[in-house]
Amino acid sequence: MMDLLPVLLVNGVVFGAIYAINAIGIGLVYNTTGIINFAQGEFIMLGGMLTACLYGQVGLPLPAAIIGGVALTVVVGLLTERLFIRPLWRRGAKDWTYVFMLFAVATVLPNLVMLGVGRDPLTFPAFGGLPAVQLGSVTLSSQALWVLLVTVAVFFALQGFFDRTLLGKAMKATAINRRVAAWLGIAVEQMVAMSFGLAALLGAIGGVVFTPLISTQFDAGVSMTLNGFAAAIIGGMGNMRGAIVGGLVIGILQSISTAFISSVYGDAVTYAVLFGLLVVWPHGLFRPLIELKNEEI
Amino acid sequence: MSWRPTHTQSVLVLIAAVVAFPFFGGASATTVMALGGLYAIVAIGLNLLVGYAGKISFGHNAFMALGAYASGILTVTYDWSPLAAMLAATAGSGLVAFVIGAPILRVRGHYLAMITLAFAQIVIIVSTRWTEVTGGLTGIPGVPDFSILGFAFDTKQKMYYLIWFVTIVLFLLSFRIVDSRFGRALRALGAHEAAAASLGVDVVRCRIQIFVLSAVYAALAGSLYAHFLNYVNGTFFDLSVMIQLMAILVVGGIGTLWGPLVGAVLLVWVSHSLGSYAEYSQLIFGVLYGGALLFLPRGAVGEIAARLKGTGSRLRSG
Repeated sequence: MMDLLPVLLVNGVVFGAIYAINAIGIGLVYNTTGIINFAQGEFIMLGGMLTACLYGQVGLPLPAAIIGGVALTVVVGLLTERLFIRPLWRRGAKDWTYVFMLFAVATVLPNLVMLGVGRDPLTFPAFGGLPAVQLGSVTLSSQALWVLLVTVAVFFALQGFFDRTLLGKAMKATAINRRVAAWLGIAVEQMVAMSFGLAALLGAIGGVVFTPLISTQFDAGVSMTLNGFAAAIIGGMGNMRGAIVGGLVIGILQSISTAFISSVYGDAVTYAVLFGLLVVWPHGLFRPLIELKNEEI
Repeated sequence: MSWRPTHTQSVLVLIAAVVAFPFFGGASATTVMALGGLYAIVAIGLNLLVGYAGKISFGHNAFMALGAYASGILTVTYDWSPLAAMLAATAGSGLVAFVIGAPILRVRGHYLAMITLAFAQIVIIVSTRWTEVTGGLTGIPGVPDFSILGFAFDTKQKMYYLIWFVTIVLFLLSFRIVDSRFGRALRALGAHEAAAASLGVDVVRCRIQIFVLSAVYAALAGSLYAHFLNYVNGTFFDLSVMIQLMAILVVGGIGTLWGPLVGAVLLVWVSHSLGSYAEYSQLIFGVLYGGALLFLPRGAVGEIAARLKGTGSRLRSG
């Protein structure tokens, strides 16, 4: 059994990278709005499914299909904010209304995909272009390497964005204190729209690099949301470094529990751990970017 | 409008309508309305949680499942009497809700929503896979008819009356709760947590109590469901049920007393009329309640109440 461990660890890290991307997406929206985005996992599903459709059904070459899939998912993310969140925001709706609304989005999107594309899992070929890497006794496939490199690239790109660009700093200011940010002339509504667009972009990128490894289908989003949320909780909501650690913890935990406990109850184990964590460390192992703040969001 | 029905008058009309329905509606419509009653029970409890305490659960379908499975297993496998099984099922589910709610509800924010969603996923996975106890995908057939002191509710019509009796009792109880000291604390909590806390409301305790109560309502409905269909199956309680419950709340009117009842009756007919389009039910209910959040924020009942009061559209809720 123990000689399985390296393989499980590597697998866990690769899955964990996706959960980390998801956790960062959840954190972005949480920081600007105080809302937990229940539709985050759907962006991963959409990115994968749309790319698979553009490649398989429409017949675009893979790079074009990927760009198209990601772009369409970002459009969906922006529309979600514009059509469903902003009207609630403007009428000063109570905070549970947003959670209900995002859950409605998370219900409707997969069902639309099911109607349009069907229930079958879809996938597309691995990107290629990178070698498979031998790590001791374990082989890291070329696509798995893509997943890890893209995750690292996303992390540093976001960090640069928040630290170096005016727009990024404005988003960060909004996250820290919405009211003061508005007084300083930051267009808070646009920052919220940006956070949804970025979250959808992250989800789509995650879905695109991840789908060739397994496949994706219309109902893959809910467990992605829950796993991403678990990673975000461990890492402290909105804390990017924490999200990476949280993603890796959940990924490795899941990979090991699936192998040693039961493949059937794999998700159940993660959820049980998530619950345990929330009981013991409700604010995660790392500090959240912002302490839980004004309740009137 | 000058005349508004009082609550007593409205409740009497409701009781008359419930009693009379089977005589005019026919057998199949009575079955549908019985299901509507079951959904109303869960929705009344959930409304107290969301509409008055401002907390969200995405796992009340799982509490229904717990109630139904506990009743099914205790009566079929262990030969308990239906009443004893029902009491054990609801008490047990309340305990589970306490174990989940007590730690999570101490934390601000909407963690309860995420945790209950995860909890519901676990319950559905376990209920369909743990074959030795739950019968797996086959479920538990042969759940006996409900009976109290030798009187058996052995027809769908008798079950209809039992279900609606429970519904109306719990409905009236929700009136009492909302008007009680506890209810006022609850509303203060939903309106402004910090203000409520500073006025001496034990915020955490209040939230936990209401969460447990709403879970007990759901488990009771689940238990009745098992006896109504004489059968338990995990697929009866999947995510679609939760989505329908949310649609009931939003369309009926969250935070209004009559909302869950009206929503449940309306939507059980929508669900019934889907027939062969049942595959689209998640989509339809999702669009329905998303749309209602945008365009009918007070729900049907809230809207009507506002019109009767003549306050037009100035009142805001949700």
